[in-house]
Amino acid sequence: MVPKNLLKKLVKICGRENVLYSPTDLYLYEYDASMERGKPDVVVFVTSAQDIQNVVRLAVAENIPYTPRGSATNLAGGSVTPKGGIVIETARMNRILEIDEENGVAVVEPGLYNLQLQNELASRGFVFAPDPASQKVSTLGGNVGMNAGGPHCLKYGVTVNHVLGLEMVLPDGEIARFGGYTQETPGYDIVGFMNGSEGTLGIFTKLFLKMMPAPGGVETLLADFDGIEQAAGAVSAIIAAGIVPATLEYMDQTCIKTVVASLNVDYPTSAAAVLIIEVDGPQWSLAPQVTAIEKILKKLGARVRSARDNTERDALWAGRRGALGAMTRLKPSVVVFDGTVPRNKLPLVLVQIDDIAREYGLFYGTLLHAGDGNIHPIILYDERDEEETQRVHEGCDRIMQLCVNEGGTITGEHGVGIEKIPAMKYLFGEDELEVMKQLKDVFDPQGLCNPGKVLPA
Amino acid sequence: MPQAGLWEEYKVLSDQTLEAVVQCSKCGFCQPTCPTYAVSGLEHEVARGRHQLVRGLVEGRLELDKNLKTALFQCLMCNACYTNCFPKIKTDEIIAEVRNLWIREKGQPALQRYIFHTLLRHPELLGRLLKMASFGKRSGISGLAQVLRCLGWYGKNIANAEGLLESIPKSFLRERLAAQSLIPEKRRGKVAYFVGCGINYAQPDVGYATAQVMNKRGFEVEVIDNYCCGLPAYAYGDLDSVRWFVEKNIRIFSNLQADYIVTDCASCTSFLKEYKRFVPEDSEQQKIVKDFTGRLRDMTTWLYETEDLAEYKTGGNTQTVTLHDPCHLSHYLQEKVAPREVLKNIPAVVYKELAESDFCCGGAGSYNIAHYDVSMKILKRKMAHVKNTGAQVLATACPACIIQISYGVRKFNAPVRIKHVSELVLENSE
Ligand code: SF4
Ligand code: SF4
Repeated sequence: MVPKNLLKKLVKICGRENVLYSPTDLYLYEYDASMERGKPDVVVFVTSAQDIQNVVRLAVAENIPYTPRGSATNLAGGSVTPKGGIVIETARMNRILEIDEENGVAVVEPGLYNLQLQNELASRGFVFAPDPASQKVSTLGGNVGMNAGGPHCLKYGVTVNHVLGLEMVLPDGEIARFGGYTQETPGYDIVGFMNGSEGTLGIFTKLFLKMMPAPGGVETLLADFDGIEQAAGAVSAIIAAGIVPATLEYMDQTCIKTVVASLNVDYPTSAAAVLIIEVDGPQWSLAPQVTAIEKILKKLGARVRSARDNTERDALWAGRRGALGAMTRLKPSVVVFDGTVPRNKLPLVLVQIDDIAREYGLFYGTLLHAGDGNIHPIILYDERDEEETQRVHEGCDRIMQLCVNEGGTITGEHGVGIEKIPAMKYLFGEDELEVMKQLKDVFDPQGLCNPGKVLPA
Repeated sequence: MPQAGLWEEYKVLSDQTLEAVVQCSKCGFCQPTCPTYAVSGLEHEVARGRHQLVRGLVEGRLELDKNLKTALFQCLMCNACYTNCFPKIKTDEIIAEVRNLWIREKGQPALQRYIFHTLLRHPELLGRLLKMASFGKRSGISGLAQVLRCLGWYGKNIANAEGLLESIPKSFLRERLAAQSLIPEKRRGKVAYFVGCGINYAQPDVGYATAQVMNKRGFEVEVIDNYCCGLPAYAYGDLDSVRWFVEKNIRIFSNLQADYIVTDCASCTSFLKEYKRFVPEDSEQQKIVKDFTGRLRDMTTWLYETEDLAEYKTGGNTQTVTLHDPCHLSHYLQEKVAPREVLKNIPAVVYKELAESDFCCGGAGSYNIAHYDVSMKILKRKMAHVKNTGAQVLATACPACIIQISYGVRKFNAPVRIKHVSELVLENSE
């Protein structure tokens, strides 16, 4: 419980209806989309940088932890409050402040949904490249905080490559701005450092994002394979041939069968795996790319189909977009595992994941942002069954170790949050973790800003 | 984590509801599409939060108290969340059952009891009272309420909702249709017309247009002597009343001889399709339900299916028309094609798409009376989009939407006329 006088001060800053503390409300702010839970003491809705600054200053003065929250769609516990304290909800800070077409910069507030920005840009002939699968609901503040990826990051890079500047409230309560309208900022790359900091180094109040002209055209291919190794092998073969598709997505047979059963999509259910490959660019550049890719695919024994128009293109994508949804209908609970491995290790890793799944009795299907080696086995279970839940935890841990052993990492885009803290030790040694801890201390000596995340205690 | 054993012991809610609630993976994808969340940003105002509340109740972590009541009764039951939910959780079914639990544990408010147990079960009494209201000095909702002797029951809500209903018609649809022949010259077939309460008592002009269009397309119209479909009772969790209406109507449906059964209230259509949930499996009633739902069409779907029989005027002035998708049509029946195609097919219509066209208008039956403030925030958003289209006419297919959006036109000064799709089709027919 928060002391009465603190509540009073929060009400003064944010307004009475913007401060929640009833047991029912707090129960509703103890989760995100992960398996983690942690009850906050109070939730405040902020509408301006000044609100955030005032709340942070108060928290610092009273020595109370605070955690930023957007749509709470985090898959690793990033917006859960294991240490209680104040939840600072930024969902109402969702304005597009400026679209500067000449300099290619969009200035937005952190609570804006990714897709809302995309829609606005599309009407002007631009795109914001990062397109996480959750773009309809995830906020841009969260995207930057998690350094989100998405199908298109294979060609265009992840979020960090598209953030030009940030305005934020630092853990000492000061408002600072790093970068802005220019492509390059002298001095240390604080903007880059803040990408993927998971809200542990301050709270964003303004984002300066890079807009790119929309590509002239796209071509979409669907390739199906008899073996997962051939499918996975095709991924590195394409890139080794010097072609960088805009997206290179992989679905295994379990996912294919599930989407075909529940959606009206035309994927070959006998295939061991399919790849959805999209190339984009000026019209003249498309045909040569497609021919080269088709040649590689056919050599590996794939059957290839291409979309003739937008309707067919949507139909090819419908299965990929609906895959996670269709899978979650099979069982009550789901873990979307997130890890990466070097592309050329994909065939080996996929076979080993299958072994681990068998050993732990896991029911799963696999989706990959295959181009950048980002693997998403979707593991289905029933969290009411404690024994099964335990097996899922252990199996995931094994898969994580596998990724690291093969030269990959423990998260591609979902972040470390709470869930993957133990796995940080697989990836980093004492010295490396110590450097990170010291950096965190420089920004947040009291350790109040989103505590209990990212770094092992 | 669920506490051990509670799931087994807590049997106040049905297994289906419990299963539905655990299916919610907390992904949060319902957020951008849930109207109550869109205007509040609060977790207890979105499907994810509502499901977690029910879960908390089941797991014994929360009480059936005032906080829970607000969250669960403030849901529009629009099911926009269902359309966008990966595991396809039917929020309306969960909400209806929890509201039922509320009634069982806390009692049913007297006004609701009076409406669902007395007025709607005795249409002649309801009709008589409404007639008195229509001739009374005071018009609109308060006049109605006065006559219904329930002003005190709704308290300040009634004052807020003043003006929602402009007037009560002097004659109801059933009377008007009874007074004329509904057999066309060239008879192609027969439609049994299910007359919803909203159309009968509040918008007889719409129903009149519906019957005319059916005649024009060569169909004889038989007006079904039906009761309320039961949806209003369902929305307030009065499942006993629902079963009463379902049973009565099934008996009436059992001897309907018609090629189609059609209603021009999308809410009725969708709820009639749900009747199978309220009768025992493998029963005689279930067979009747199966038979009539096979022939059941929403008016917009019927118009679409019989489009080749349409004869439209050509060469007149054109008008820009936009469409508001009623929740029961778009989110329950998942029908978005039919109304659009019907409108686009009318030569004099220049069709313009409405932004967030399937976003609830906030009418939601009597939600606009019970939760006036939230309803108005939702309506405001709708009206802003309507104004942006610049359309002269907004078409829709549900009387509750027509009442609500017409109110929006007056309240937010939107220069647009509201019509049922049937009315537009009739106006443009030869
Ligand atoms: S039914 Fe409508 S109001 Fe209720 S939770 Fe779903 S989207 Fe929100
Ligand atoms: S979209 Fe469905 S599963 Fe996801 S949080 Fe909402 S109700 Fe739950």
